[in-house]
Amino acid sequence: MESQSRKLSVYELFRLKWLVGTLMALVSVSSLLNLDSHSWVPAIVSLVAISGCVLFPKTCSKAPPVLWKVFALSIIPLVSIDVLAKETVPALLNLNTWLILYRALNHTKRREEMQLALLCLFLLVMTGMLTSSIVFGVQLLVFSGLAVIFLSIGSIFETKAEGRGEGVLDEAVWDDHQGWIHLARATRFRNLAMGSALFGSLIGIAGIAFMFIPRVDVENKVNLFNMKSTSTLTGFSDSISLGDVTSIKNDKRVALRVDVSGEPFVPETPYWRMLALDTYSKGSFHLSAELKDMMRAGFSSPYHAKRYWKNRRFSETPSSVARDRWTFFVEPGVSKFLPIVGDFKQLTFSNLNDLSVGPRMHLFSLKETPSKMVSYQLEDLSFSTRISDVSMGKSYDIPPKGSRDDSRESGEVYPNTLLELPDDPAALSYLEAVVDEITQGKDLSALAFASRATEYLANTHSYSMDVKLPKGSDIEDPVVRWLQTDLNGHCEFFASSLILLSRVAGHPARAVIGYKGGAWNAFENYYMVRNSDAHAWCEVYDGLGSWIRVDPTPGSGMPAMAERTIALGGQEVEAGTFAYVDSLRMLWYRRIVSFDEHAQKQAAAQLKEFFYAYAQVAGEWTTRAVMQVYKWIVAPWSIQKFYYTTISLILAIGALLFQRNLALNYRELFLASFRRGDPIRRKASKLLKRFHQSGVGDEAIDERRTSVVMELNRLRFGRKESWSNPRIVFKEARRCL
Amino acid sequence: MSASAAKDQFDWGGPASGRRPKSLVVKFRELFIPPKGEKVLPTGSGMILILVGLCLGLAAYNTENNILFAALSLLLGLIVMSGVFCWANLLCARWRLETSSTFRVGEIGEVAIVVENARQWFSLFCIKFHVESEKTGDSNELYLKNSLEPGKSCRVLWRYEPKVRCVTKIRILDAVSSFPFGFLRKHVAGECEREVRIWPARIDYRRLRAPESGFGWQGASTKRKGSTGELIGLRPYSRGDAPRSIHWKVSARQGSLMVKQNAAESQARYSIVVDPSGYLWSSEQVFEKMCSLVATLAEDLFLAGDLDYCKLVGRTTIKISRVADLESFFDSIAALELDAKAEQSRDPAYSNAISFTQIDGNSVGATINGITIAKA
Repeated sequence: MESQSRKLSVYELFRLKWLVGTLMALVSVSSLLNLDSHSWVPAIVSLVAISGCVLFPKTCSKAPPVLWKVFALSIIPLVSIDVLAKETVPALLNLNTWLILYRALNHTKRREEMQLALLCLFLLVMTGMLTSSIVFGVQLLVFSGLAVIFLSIGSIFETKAEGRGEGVLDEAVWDDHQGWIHLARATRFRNLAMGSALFGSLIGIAGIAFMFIPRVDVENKVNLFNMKSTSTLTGFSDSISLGDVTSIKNDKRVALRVDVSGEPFVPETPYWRMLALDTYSKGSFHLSAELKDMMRAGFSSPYHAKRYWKNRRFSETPSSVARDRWTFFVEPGVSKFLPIVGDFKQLTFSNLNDLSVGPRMHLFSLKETPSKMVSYQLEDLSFSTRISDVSMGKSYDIPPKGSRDDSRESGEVYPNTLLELPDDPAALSYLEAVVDEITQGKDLSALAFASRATEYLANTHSYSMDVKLPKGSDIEDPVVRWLQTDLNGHCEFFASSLILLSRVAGHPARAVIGYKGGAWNAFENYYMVRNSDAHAWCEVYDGLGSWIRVDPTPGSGMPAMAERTIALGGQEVEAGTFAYVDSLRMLWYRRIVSFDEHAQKQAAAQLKEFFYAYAQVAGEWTTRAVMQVYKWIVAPWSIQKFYYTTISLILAIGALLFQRNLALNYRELFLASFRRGDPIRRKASKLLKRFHQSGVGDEAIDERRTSVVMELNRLRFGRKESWSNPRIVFKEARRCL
Repeated sequence: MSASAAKDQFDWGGPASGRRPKSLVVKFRELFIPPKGEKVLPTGSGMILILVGLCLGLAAYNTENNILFAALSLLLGLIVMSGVFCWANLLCARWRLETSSTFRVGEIGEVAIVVENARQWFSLFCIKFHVESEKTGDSNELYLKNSLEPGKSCRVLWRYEPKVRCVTKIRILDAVSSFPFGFLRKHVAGECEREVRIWPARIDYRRLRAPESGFGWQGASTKRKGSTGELIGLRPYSRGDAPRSIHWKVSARQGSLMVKQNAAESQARYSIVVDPSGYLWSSEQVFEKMCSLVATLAEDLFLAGDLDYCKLVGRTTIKISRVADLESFFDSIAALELDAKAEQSRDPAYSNAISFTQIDGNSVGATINGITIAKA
């Protein structure tokens, strides 16, 4: 079958350029769909319009110019409304989208091409900064490829149109358009290969530049393009109702990835603690108003945390101390509260001004739920089931045991909220009865009570995610109603019940929300914590300055003073296709998004080590080879060895003689494939030049020289049939020189 | 044969012309310190890109955001690639200049650049040549419109219509490559030039009948050398002789080309004398008109077989017997300049020769023995 490839005409080149430009715009605008919190209307309108024009370019070209002028003018009121109604970033995104739509369908001049490329890049970078997702990485790659093709075709088009790109275009440009497939068939394979090579080179150079652009830690970093998420994916906020945690149990998306380095032992079942709530009201826990205010106040800044945690440091740059580090990557929109595991010595976060610390509830929160991936690092972790309290018994007076009536009267004031119970006397009476059954009249420590209460709940209820509370009870409180039954329940029922029982027993308790467990990704070695790992448990104050973690959900074990740890890698391992795809995302976070000065130094050190290691291996190999040859020579000679050596020598000499009989040496033979023209003619030309430059000898030599020069000229310019043996001519020529 | 092929090599210009073999060290040094005539400059788009890159860099360093660093790396990659590829595109290109054999004012001649891709594998793309005529100041940009396959060559044409009579040099000022992205453009010196002589334009003139002078007379065959009469002798071949005048049998016997000399059927009776003395011509305009009339009249007389000698006062006299002689005379006319320093003592009368004088204000007349035979 005859190839249909040919050189494209000016019109065809223009159409191809236009197509690539619109595809570039499509990729760029589609990046807006990564933003959950941004209105998709401009993006979808633009995508539909551009796609329509790509499918029906002739129709699009027939649109009257006034239509585009009207559209260009209508962008101003559209954006003005956005600016007045919204924040700056969404308005900027919308403006960019409308401009791309306008320019994608109207680009003929070179400067318009540049405008389109830059607008697309700007939108892509903005969305990338707002999401930091791997989808952005893929889109950036596709965009780069298209941009390379777009700019190259633009250059070729300009040359083909003799620098008058716009001048050669008229209304007939789309008349003979026979469809994109026809145009694609006309495109030559050579050009595709060249485009691929250009793209590959660009990615290679950009990769090297990315690695070697010096990174500097800057104080007071500017926060560009921040956008808050309109809702949290998990629903983890400062108020949690029964069922909120369980509702995301079916969501298998990864919410959190944790990179562990330098720590040989990790908790057997890690509890990723995000949120602790003190106030209770009819089945829901929330953060008391006072604590909320404290989280918003100026002294919630991590710079003030030194007052609470003497040995804990908050920094924007990692420490240089060699110790274990856990790097957390929280997916966009999960929650504004950061998951924390165990106790730590340093928390590193890129912008500490965005971080609020709630020492009393041991909370770490951002100002808003982020729309992009958030990463932070904990250093020197220690694992325990206890969390030191920083306020109990210090800043506040603890209500004594048995004075719960007073605490109820005092209302929602921290720390009394830690003992808050349902107002319903019937519910309270039932809880007291259960507590009496658990304690059997003994005065139990917090740990002992928590253990017995956990046992009691396990004996009376089983785990189930589907709970339907019976109606008709005289008690309103759902947790107490559940306690009264033998119904199965989920983690929130168990945790809430234990909190209420502990509070009735006089032990301050609080609800904790976060994730439990997680799978170990075997491809890139990190924890993958999914939304389905969401969990609720509680913490009970032991009266000695610590909060004990108690997880009353069946199957979680009894409360203990010490955390059970296992060797790193001994966890539940996931190595399927999903894990592989997810590991790519982790690679993106590790190598691209979190690539900082420290990582750059590490990479440089690794590179250095790599070369040293190879140099060492090469050196050792050479030494070993030389020694082996030496040993082989000095070892006793047998007949076989003699024959072997002789044959090898004969072969080597034969190869040498064969080479000497060739007109070209090995170097010339090798380079011939890279050079233009016949290698024999080339060598003859070189020798002729040397003859020309060399001096004049005696008469006899001159005769010889004349004959050699004639032969060389014949090799250089003559027909091949008239050639003498080139090897002999070259040899003779070398003798004369 | 070999000599002409060897000479052909020296007509090439451009990086692959092989005119100056360079060592690897020199080539490497020239990457950073380009030789004279070579430069890499940003285009308008390139300037914008560099500006955007600077802004991105500023934002990236102030935010420490790797997304911005990634975008910055892409831009840097684009700029670096633009520079490397526009340099590499020209690296194996060579070109030479070819022009029409004759140029005449008001007539279109051809200036062609023969471009050759000396690569083995990769095509040559998007080269722009700046060509100019030194004396007239005419210039043009010629584009290599289609990609050039490895080892192939093509011609890029400039249909040049000169406006002024002169001797000028047409040269390739430089070759520019901005492939593939058009952000940077590499300039390489053209290294090719060719001297061309632009003959005066043909001019409309009025022929005045002068019976006593015999203008237009045609006589019988004489023993003067011509091209159509009987064979009167043989002579060695010289450049410009018509191939049909070669006597092949004698040439084969002699071992060298011999040309037949025939008797002319009519006798050329006129000589043309051109005097560029400044006092004869009131302005450059009249002088140019005189040159045009000289060329036109000489051409017409030659075609009629009535031209014998052409003389430029103060210079050599040319015997006009072949087309090449007439061309030689036109070449001299092309280089003719008004001699402002000439003294008036020179005798302007030449017997039996056509001379030229300014008459009736701005007109020019051709006179013979004091009788005006033509006027322009």
